[in-house]
Amino acid sequence: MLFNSLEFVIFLPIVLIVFAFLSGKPLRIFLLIASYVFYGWANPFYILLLVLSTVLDYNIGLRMSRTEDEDRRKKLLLASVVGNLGILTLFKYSGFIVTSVNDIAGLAGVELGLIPPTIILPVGISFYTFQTLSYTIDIYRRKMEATDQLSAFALFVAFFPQLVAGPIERARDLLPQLMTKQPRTADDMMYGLTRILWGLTKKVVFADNIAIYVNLIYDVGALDKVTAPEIILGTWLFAFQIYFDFSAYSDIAIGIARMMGITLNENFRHPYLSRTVAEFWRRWHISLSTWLRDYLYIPLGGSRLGLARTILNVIIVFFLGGLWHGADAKFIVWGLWIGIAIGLYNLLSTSVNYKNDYERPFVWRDIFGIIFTFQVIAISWVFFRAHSFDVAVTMLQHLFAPERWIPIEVLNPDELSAAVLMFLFVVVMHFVRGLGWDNRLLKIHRPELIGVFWAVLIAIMIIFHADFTEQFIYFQF
Amino acid sequence: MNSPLNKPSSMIMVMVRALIGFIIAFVLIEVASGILFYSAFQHGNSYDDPTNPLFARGWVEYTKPRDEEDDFLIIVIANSQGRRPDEGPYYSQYLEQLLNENSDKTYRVLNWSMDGARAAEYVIILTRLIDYDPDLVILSPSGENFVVHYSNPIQTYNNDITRLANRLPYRNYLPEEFLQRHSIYDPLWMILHNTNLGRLHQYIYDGRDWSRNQRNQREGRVDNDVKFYQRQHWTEDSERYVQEIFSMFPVVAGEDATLLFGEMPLNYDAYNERRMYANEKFIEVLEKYKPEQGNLYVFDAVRAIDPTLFYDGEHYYDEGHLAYATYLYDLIQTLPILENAEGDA
Repeated sequence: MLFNSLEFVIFLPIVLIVFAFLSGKPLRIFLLIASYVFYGWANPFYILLLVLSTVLDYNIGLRMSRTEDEDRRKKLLLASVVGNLGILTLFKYSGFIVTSVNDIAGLAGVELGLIPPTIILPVGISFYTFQTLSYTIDIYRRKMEATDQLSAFALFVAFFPQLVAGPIERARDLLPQLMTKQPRTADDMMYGLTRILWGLTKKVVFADNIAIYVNLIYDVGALDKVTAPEIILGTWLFAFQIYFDFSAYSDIAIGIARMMGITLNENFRHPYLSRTVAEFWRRWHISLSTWLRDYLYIPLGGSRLGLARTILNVIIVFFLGGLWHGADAKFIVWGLWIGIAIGLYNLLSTSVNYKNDYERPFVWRDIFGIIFTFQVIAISWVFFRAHSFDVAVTMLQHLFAPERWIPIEVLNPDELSAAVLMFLFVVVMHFVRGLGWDNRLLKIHRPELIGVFWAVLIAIMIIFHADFTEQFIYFQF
Repeated sequence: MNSPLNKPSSMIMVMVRALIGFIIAFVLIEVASGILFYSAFQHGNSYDDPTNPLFARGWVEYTKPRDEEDDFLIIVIANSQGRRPDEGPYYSQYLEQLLNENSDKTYRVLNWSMDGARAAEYVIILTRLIDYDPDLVILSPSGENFVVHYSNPIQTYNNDITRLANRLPYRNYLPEEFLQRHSIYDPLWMILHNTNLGRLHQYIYDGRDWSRNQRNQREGRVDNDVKFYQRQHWTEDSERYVQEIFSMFPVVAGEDATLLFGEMPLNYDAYNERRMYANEKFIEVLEKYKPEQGNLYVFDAVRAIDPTLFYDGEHYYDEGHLAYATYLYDLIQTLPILENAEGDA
């Protein structure tokens, strides 16, 4: 079920009304059923995968907590990792693996002719796989106790607001909130609803409208004509499209959970105000970057084993981060580009003895760092958005071709004006929101005025929604 | 903080207060959108012409029911060719004049033309015939306009025709498959087509898509990502509307009514081969699906008027309107229907 669908508009109020009258185990079971309905709306078969992950990690968690034998605990953790990543590999990477085996055999002159399986990727599998893995890893590390409440654990895995595209929650944060009904205030309801409407506005107004121009520029059919300025504009726009699209989902998830009194972790903190690439990854998809930090980067040695190893660790982490997005060369290069950029930042910042503190208040000279960081990230988005790795490379080559430095070929003048205006608007909005210049406005506590704000958002959505709604980009992962 | 939002006990009261603020603000925004939307139309003469009950500029219900004194009612439906930018008479008025001058009976010709209307909109507007009991309907859209955007949402930016699709009894006369195809029962669709906010959206976006579509057709682009690059050519999808019009006409207009369904005169000097083909193909499709039974006729007026009588590709000077009216007058004389009218007289 999609957040921006009519079904969900009916589904959510029903869930919230029933939620108000239940508590304890019946509430958990109700939310679990609601979550399975939400997830299985398009394809009920995929509920089985959720159940499989749930049963696997629930049992492993319990067994691990009941033994002090480190060897056994390690084997149990291994079983969890192999089981979860096995399911993920089967559904997400099997086609890539079979194709790669064929290619490698082909290089050796052997024609295997293995047929890649045609498996449809279950929505959100990468997200809930990482979420359940964090549970068993944390138990193994003795950072939390296993739960013996199957309904609570199943709900933790399937909690519908953040099931499909995050934020990826840690069991130690979310599970206790699901064990007992959280008290709700009017503030929770008002904040939650406002956050949902704001998220929907970001998706259907900003992300989907920007997508119109990005799709034109990144259209494979237009590759022969697209000009260098168009590629730059399209990539800058895509940077904001993916931000609005992905953060919209997080906003809606956080808003829905908040209406149930549950606090989810923030996933974005105005990432394009980052002054360094390293800071960007503290502000972008925070739940994934902190997951990779805690469960991959630190076990690899983090920054404790010297500069060279630190840089290597960063590159490994982002290589795997790229792979997490998909078994495709373009995602791998995207991850490597970010990893190398952060590695270089680590190298340079050590050389000049400078380390940016991302909590430090902004000063005007930060604008140079912000612009530079945005460009570095924008290059990575070319790989992320392009139809394939080859297309991404061709587009980057166009940037260095003198004959491509003509104004427009794909867009017409009206579209160019609209695209530029839209870009300027979202940049200004990002600054205004990121720097907290709208804080006074957001501190309104009169319910009537909040109601007016809802009406404005809904009116904006009706008038300015794009006619062709794009699926949330991160659904494909 | 001493805010009502922080007190759990006041939750319902707070929500009610917020709801009141929401409703008041939403109503005000809806009214403001209506003012913006309706003020955007500048068809200076659409209200002034008593024989031109267009559905343009919002739902202005000044179309009179059939006058008892009318002996013979003709309704012409076309695209913007059926109108003109100045205050002069339309071909429909010339036709009315010609008919009345050459007969003792009273003929009335209503012009229901719609700028840029597409196939789906013609299907919907035909349901309005149930209130008129016309003797003759002349349906002559441009073949190009007829097929364009055949699978896109029905436009409301320049007319309120889609309100008919939502209204009873008109909706009952639309084919079931048509209702499904255009999501007529979809609540979001209804909001989009029945609120001023929704109409404002259509006005802003549909116009833009239209121009984008035209441009991409010119350039012959093939696009993998963007869904709205519909081709302006005839397919089974677009032909379905022709079948629907033929099959529903006797139901909505009455068994005795006659339909003249064809292509309007065009400035063939201003069209390239591909565009002319899209228009001429229209006649082929009409002939293909015209039922053998019933008072249904196909006509081809594509080359009926000299190109010098057009001020652009599709629209006529005053002489063009008169020439087309004369063409229609002559065409009508060949039909058996006037005999009945004269006979009654």
